[in-house]
Amino acid sequence: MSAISAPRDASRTVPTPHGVSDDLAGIHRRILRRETHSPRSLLAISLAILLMVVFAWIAAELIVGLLGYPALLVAPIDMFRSALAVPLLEGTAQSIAVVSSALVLLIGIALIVASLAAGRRARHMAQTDRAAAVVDNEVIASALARHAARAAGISPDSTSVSVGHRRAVIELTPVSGHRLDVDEITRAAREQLDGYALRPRLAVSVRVASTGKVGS
Amino acid sequence: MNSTNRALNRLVILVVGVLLTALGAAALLGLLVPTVHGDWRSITGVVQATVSGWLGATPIGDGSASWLLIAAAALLVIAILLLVAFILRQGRGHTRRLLTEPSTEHGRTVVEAAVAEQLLHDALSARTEFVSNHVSTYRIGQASALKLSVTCRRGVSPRDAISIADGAIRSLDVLLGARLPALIQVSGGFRARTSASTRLQ
Repeated sequence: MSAISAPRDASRTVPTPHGVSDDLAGIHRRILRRETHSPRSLLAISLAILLMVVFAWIAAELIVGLLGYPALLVAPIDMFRSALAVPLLEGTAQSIAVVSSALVLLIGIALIVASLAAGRRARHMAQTDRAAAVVDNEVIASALARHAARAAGISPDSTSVSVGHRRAVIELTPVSGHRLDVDEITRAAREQLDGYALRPRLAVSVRVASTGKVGS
Repeated sequence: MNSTNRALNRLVILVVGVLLTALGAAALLGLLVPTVHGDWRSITGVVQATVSGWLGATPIGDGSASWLLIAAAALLVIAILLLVAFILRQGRGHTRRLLTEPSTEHGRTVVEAAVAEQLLHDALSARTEFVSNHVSTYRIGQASALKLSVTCRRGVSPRDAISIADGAIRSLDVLLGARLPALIQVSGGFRARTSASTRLQ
């Protein structure tokens, strides 16, 4: 912390500068909610680009048609006619039409689900009394792996941890011929997790592989 | 922490989803249910006549072209411009101003965001627990908020990572004489996986 060496007179009364909020907790809550949920930007931008391409094409066809040139792909009049005059299809044409309609229907339903679902990110909130904090599940898994490996007396490379929204699963491969104390390892992992003070809380379960490995 | 309008993102996705669902369902019904197909065919003539009537009733000058088509093209261009604006609005909200002291008879003090960003970056760069760190400033409502993203080495406890960053923020508070909203983002990621794990504790 060499760069920030603090002067001791911070308690002096200064007027609140512009740009400083007195509602830190409120802003932190808002930040945490946004940081733990997906903004859906990628999907929204992709859809917007697709819509732009389709709109640009239809507009180009309209203008080309008005100027009396031959259509780029399909003339607007023909688009309109064929959309209206659905002929009775047979055989392969019918199946292609049915499959593509079903596909459009499914994509539509998937988009509706995506627009309404929470879109949780693989992150947990953590508590400090000064700042808002979010931790990627990956970091939690990596730290748990290190502590579980130490408690089990095996190499961290023989531990694999997966962290979900509400539970962490620790998988251990013991050294051949040694028995691991699952309760002890679970207790060590539990203690670590309690220290992290994550929200939502993580339940932990330890699984030991039935076959050991030499030198693990 | 950016100012992306998430409700609007979801609205766009929802509208496209509803349109595609309706289109797919209508097409499936028309293809698979003979009575729907029959009904559809019986109204096509009427629709076609109506639309032809509209196009015929709205000529440009004395030509055969209809200005309805030009209006449709113009509407499409407006829609494209709105979509461009929608895309450009994503991910904004950075600010270069940290805080502004109220004016006094001697003038005004402005603190640039770079001050806090560089101080925090230097403080965190000295720590071996982190592979890298990045500090940025966003505007949330009237307030400037700091975001400290740190990439941890393998096996670093999130608690340690957070308390180191928390300490740096507290030191900055004392230095600035103001408490700004702050987010600590602890991540692992590719660089953490490929870099060597350090001796911890």
